[in-house]
Amino acid sequence: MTCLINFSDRRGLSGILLFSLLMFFKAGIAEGNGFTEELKRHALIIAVYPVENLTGRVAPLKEFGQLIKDELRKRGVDILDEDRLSSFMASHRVRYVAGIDTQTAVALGKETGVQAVLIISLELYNDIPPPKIAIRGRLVSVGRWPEILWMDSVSLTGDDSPGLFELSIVNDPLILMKKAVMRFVELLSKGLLEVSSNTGSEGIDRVKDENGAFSAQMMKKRRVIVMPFFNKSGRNYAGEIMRNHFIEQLTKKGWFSVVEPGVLREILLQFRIIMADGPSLADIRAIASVIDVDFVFSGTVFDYNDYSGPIGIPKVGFIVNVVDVSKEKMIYSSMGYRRGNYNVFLFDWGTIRTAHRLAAIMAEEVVDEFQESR
Amino acid sequence: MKWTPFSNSIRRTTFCAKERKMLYGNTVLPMKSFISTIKAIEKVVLFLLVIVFLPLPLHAAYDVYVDETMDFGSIRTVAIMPFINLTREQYAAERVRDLLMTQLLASKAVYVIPSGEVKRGIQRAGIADPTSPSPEEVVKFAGIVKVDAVITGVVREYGEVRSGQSAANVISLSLFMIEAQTGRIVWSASTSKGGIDLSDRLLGGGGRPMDDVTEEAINDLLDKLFR
Repeated sequence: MTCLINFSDRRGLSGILLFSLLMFFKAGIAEGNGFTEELKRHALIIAVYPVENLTGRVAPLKEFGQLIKDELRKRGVDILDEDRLSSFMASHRVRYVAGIDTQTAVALGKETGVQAVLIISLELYNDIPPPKIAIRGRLVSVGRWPEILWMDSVSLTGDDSPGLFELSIVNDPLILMKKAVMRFVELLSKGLLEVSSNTGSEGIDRVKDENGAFSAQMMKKRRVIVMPFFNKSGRNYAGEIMRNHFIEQLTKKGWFSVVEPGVLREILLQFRIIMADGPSLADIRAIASVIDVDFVFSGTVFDYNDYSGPIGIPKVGFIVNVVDVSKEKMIYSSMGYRRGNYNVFLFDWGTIRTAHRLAAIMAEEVVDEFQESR
Repeated sequence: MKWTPFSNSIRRTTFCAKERKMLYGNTVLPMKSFISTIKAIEKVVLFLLVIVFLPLPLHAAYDVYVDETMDFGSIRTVAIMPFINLTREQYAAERVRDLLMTQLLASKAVYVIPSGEVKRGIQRAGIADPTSPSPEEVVKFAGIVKVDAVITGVVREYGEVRSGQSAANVISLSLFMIEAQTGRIVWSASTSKGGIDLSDRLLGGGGRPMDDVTEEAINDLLDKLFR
């Protein structure tokens, strides 16, 4: 085939480039519209819980929450009205926003008609240039057996891609916040579509039968509970963040069905279980008497350090233990310790700039290894 | 005639003396004095080598205690008690204990009960100071959590040491294994790893990460246990 384009002609070349760019954007917009239409067609109604602050410092939580809701509405996701959610939370005295227990899930479904609740946590917010942000969200079904349907996270820093002469460094936390929210909402939209297609057009309740029991497909998966990790690092909430990393990885892999942390909290409160040094076998027996569970993850975080400003290296160190409930034995134990530059050989290429991302990689490796050992 | 290596060496020395006599007779030659000087230097070097290297095996022999009457093959399940922390690092003892637990489990030689179960056992046995339990307390505790042995330990040093411009991480710890039935110490060992070496002094740098040093120390102790 003969090439008809004369590349020596500058006008011709720029014309082709412009045309390609236009086509690219058009395709993107068309895809975006199709995406929105698809989301609207599934008509899932979700409640967005107030953002949980795990940053250990003051952060613009309301702005974050509002930005996420606005972006979701733009994409056609049906969100429960804030006033209705506030009145529901007030009437049921719901103050815990890091999870949802069974009673609240049943009441929320019945009274507001939502099918799932979005639980968001802001895990890193540092506005010192270059800023650093990490958001995590999970979608939990409402009803008698709250189940994690989707979970993902985004962590960004202003100097993730500095570009030529560092011209692409973002120093404004607001810009980075919007970027992070856009990426998060994109992941969530895809997750919502996936959830809808898995459960059918009738919605998420198809997952369970009339009595509220899990379908055979769901029961095939081995059930896991992840205890909050003990925090022996200098970072506030490092234990909760590490637990969330493991829940996310276990959920993403799809090999296990992870018990919603709100449900686990409800059981721990019910049995007045206070763990001083990890769960004992008696604690595990008590939990297993209420919910069907195969494995219990627990652990300790020793290091979870982020840095402020442009120079520094994040550091993460933890130990994770897994107990097989049926055998009443510890079947897996792993210790991980890494710095953000563990994979760097030349010119800082491959540097990981947040402890959040580093911990996510480490948790994924542990989950993969655990699955392989099964 | 049967030659042992020892008698062989005597024979060889005799032969050398004979040979020398044949070559030089009774006269003192300059070459002879040179050889005797070399011999003297050899003796000094040998003496110095003995002085330098003799204490090493002696030192190595004294940092491990093993009860010869104990059958270590019978130990299947162990509990690791909280360690005594003699360092300034707040969580040094917990870090070392958790790592030891993982390493012991990874060795697949013994099963280590979860730390939550150890805590429950301590509470039920009413042990006031779990870092140094009495033999009676060990027996009671082991009966509750059903273990064959209990491991206690002391973390003496943990963290960074400085010398001039150089800095490096160092760890020093001791472990004790107590038999569950009698409450007797059946094995004990100590180790020190890390610190500033010649390369740190010459090339600088902050030494190896603390967790690497800790892992090395624990591996050293496990080698001593399973030897």
